[in-house]
Amino acid sequence: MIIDPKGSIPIFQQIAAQMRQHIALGVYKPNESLPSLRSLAADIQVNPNTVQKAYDELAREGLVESRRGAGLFVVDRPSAVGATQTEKRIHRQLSRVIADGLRKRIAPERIRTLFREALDSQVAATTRSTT
Amino acid sequence: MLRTLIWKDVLANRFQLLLAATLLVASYGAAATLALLDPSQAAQPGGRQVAGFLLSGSLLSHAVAQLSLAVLSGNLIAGERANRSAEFLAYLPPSRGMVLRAKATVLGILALLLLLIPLGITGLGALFPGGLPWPTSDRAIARTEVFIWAMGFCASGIGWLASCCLQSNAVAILFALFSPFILATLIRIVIQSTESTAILLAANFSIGLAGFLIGTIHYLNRVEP
Amino acid sequence: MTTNLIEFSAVTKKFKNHRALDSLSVQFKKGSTVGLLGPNGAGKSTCLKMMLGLLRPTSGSVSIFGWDLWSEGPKIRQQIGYVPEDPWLYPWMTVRQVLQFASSMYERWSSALAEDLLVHMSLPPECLVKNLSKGMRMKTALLVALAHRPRLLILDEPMSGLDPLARDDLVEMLIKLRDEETECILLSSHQIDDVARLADEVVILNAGKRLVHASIDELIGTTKRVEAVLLDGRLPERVLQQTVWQRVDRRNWSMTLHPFDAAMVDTLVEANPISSTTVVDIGLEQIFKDFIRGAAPCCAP
Repeated sequence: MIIDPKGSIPIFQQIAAQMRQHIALGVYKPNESLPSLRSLAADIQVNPNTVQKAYDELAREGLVESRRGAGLFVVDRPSAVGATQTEKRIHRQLSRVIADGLRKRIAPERIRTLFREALDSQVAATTRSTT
Repeated sequence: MLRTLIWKDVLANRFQLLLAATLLVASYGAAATLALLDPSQAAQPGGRQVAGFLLSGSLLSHAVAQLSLAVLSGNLIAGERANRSAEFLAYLPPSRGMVLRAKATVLGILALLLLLIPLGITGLGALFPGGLPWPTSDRAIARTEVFIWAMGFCASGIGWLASCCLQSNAVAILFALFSPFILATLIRIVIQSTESTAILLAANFSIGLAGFLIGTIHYLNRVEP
Repeated sequence: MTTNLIEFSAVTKKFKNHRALDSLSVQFKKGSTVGLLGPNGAGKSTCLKMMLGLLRPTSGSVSIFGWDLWSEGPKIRQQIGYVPEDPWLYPWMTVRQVLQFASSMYERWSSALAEDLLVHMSLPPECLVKNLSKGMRMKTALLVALAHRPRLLILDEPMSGLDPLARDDLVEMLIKLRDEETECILLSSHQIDDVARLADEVVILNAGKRLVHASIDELIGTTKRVEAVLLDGRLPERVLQQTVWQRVDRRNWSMTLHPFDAAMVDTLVEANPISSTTVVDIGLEQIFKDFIRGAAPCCAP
């Protein structure tokens, strides 16, 4: 895991994003434990509080859960709570991008077309990779 | 805490202490050599010879002790500034007062040793048959002794003051060593009389005292360690 | 009841003609790791030395752990671990003698912890301090600071003068060896990425004044660069109040805004002759630079 401390993305978000990717790619499988706070913090050379924040976010999304005394484990299947969180995030990010486009005087119809194109190509890519 | 500080100061000044010990022993060596070379001494009975050389050795060592004390006092505080270890001590818990107390203790103990050891050795002279009575110029010896220690007190006081104020221990030591002579010259110039001895004595003592006091007050209040 | 571990109240410090701290007010709470950032001469070292009772404020007051600083210096130093910029311990002592010496100064010294740290840091116990490399001296000073389980750990430019490997080593050490007893860590540094990694909060000082004190994530989230394109031959007419820094270069008007709100872009567009705007996220280093450079007057083309 590589963190860019100078970057404009808060470090805890970088960690969370890379963790999400690891989980999606199967580096951490369901019911496997995540590295402990201290060991990950020492590994990537970051304040343990920051790692805690990242882990908290993953837990809030329902991707991981805390098991008594044993740390954080990858959840078997993402919970409904997790799905809602992801949906909220998608909405937030879409709103930002759309607002930006509108500000740059791109017509709403054009934005709608761009959105459809992006959605179609992503669905196609995901379908390809799971077959 | 104080004990560790004293241990530290002893080790930090081990060369100065070694110098003091060497000079102490060397004084007796020098006195013995002079006694052997002096024909008038050879004429004296054996016991008195020994007592005589012990006494002159002690006198010499007392004189030389002032040099040792001046060198130590000049090095005590400024020495730590010169090698930057004063900065380390500054952020440790001990207060400045305690730091100074430890140094004063080391200086005081050395002074006491350099005073008492020669006196003790002189006393040994009494054990030798024919060693007593003392040489007749008793009074003169006593006066010389007081004078020597007064000059030494002045030197140490100025050394202490310079050490408290300056960055360089070498300069502090030089100030210490020269101060009694500069003082004597100044007084001889100002007071053109034969009774300047008593004044000189008082001046040495007060300058020494002032040096210790002002140096201490300055050190306790200054910003840099 | 205050939970402020450290409190500076309108502290001014004057050195002869130079004002090192200018009516500085800042508080640090329990549980925070704070990075103190600022250019040379900003007052970082002065601030830290004051916390150790080594300097007295010209005006204002400093309290640590609720105690007044100047009168309780020794008591406060018992609970502070300090690593200065270029630590110089007694050059004639061995590492072990340094530990022996320090152990008798601190009431809370743990010999077991000291031994542990000695091994962990691979320090040669019988080596004379004067023969240690800079990195090893840093570690020795850090060992002394940590072995008495301080409530407050203060590090003044810990990375300066260390080669990249030694720096990595030290960062790892600082993360691994965080003690539960340590309630607050203060770190002053020029190295923005080290501060970003190690600290939760950041205080930016400049010329003795506090420019900003915020959590790093919050600062990054609420400080944005806005790039606006000016219309031909026109100059900016109304600068926003939240402008930290700005510059005009031909038709490009760049500014850094804090605290940023999306609505500000609209206000900017309404009040100025600009054709388009772009909002850019910026990182801690750029934010620091912009705060320091400050708001500059618009330059005429």
